Amino acid sequence: MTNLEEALHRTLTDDRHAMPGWTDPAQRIVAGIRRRRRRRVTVVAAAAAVLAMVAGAAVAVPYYGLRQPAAPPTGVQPWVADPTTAPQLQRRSPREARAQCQGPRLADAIWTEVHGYRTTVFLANMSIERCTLSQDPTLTAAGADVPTGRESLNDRLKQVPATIDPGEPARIDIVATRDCPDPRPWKDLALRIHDRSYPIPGIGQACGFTLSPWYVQPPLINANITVTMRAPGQVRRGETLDYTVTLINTLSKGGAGKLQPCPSYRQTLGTVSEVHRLNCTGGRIPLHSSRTFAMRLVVAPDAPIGPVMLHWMLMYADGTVGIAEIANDGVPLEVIP
Amino acid sequence: MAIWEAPAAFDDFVRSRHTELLRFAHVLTGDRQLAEDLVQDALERAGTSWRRLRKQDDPEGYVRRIIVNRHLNRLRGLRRERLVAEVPDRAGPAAEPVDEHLWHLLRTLPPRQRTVIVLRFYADLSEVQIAEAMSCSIGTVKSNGARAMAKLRTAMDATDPVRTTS
Repeated sequence: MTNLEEALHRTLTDDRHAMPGWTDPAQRIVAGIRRRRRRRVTVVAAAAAVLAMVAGAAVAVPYYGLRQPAAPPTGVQPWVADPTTAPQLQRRSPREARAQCQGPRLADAIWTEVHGYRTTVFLANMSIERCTLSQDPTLTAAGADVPTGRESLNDRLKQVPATIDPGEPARIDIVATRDCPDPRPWKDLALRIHDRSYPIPGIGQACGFTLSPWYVQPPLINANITVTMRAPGQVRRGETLDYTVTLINTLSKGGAGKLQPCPSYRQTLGTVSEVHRLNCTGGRIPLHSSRTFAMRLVVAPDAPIGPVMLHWMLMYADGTVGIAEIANDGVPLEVIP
Repeated sequence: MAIWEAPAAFDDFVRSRHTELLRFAHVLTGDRQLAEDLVQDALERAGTSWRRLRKQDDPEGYVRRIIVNRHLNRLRGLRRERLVAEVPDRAGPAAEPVDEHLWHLLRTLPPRQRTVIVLRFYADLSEVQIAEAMSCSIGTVKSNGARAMAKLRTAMDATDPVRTTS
């Protein structure tokens, strides 16, 4: 070993470079380790909190932050066959009787719906005030009065007296009786109301007629939901009709968008009418958002060829409804062979 | 969070070896405060890994490697060595005369060269062991050691040629 190496060894190992020991070295080190662990836990907890906040923001922003028109649907809830029964539907409560609807207040024309032997006549209130139409009309044929029977109303959906809002129609049912051996045609049938006469088309041969009183059919109560519907223009007899219905939550009141309890719906095409429970697996529809549901209906093999309306109505458990394409009461289709 | 409790063996190790580790760190760094920080850090790291360390035969060697690497990494981060001018204030009964001048010359060496010298002449490690402790190649140990010795020899010759001649 050289002198330098000996000098290095002697210098480095000299006791003057020794350091005094710690008073309680073990406790000092243990305290340091515990401090490290606390710091590590704090860092991990802070990172977890940041992640939770980011995740919460990702959920909350679409729910609360978007005050914009409904976003386009991103997915379609699959159709699930879940037949059920329709709930009791809410309707507008009966209105109190008002002043009689005088002739000038009523529309100049009527319109009718024919269901077999029964013809329902609609006559609208064209004034700006609510009025009651309760005076029995007179049925005439070729200007002469026709004796009629009186039909009682047992249908709870028909409210009497017929108090109608401006623009709202009152209804009366004309039932043709065919209980005689030789029904005959009636010429120029008409209803005379006050001093005005309204022609009634579409009634064929009959023995006689019964008339109901004037009544109103109170409207359903709409839920705070907008319903649109998309369907193909044509569908074949006996085949499956696939279409979609979109629920749009545009209002924040009245639990809009809630799908619990899960509502049911009625889909109607011609004579086929089914009630199913909605596929509610997606949960609540957020405010200003929409959700599209796939729908399926088998067209009757003997469905009449030609145009027909597809109706769809959402029915909540509380009896309120959402009617698809409410302005047109559905979408038109054409049944083809 | 459960409170960390020191294993009895680790407790004994700290009590019996911390003074020697402090001295090693002081010789390595030339700085008492820095030596205490390095030993504290190395022992805390060893404590958290004590169960794994006990399976090895040389826990003290592991702690010294931590001290060496933390020292070199710290210096690498600072890109300079913090030299302290103060001389050791604790006079001890030196068996042989100590070269105060050589102690100061050691402080002027670059960190890696000084580390090689300390491990070689204080810890009596072989070149292979030094390479392992410094996480470098044997060639690096040799080159750093040779450069360090050359600098020290030149400096010693310049001040007192008689003392360093072999």
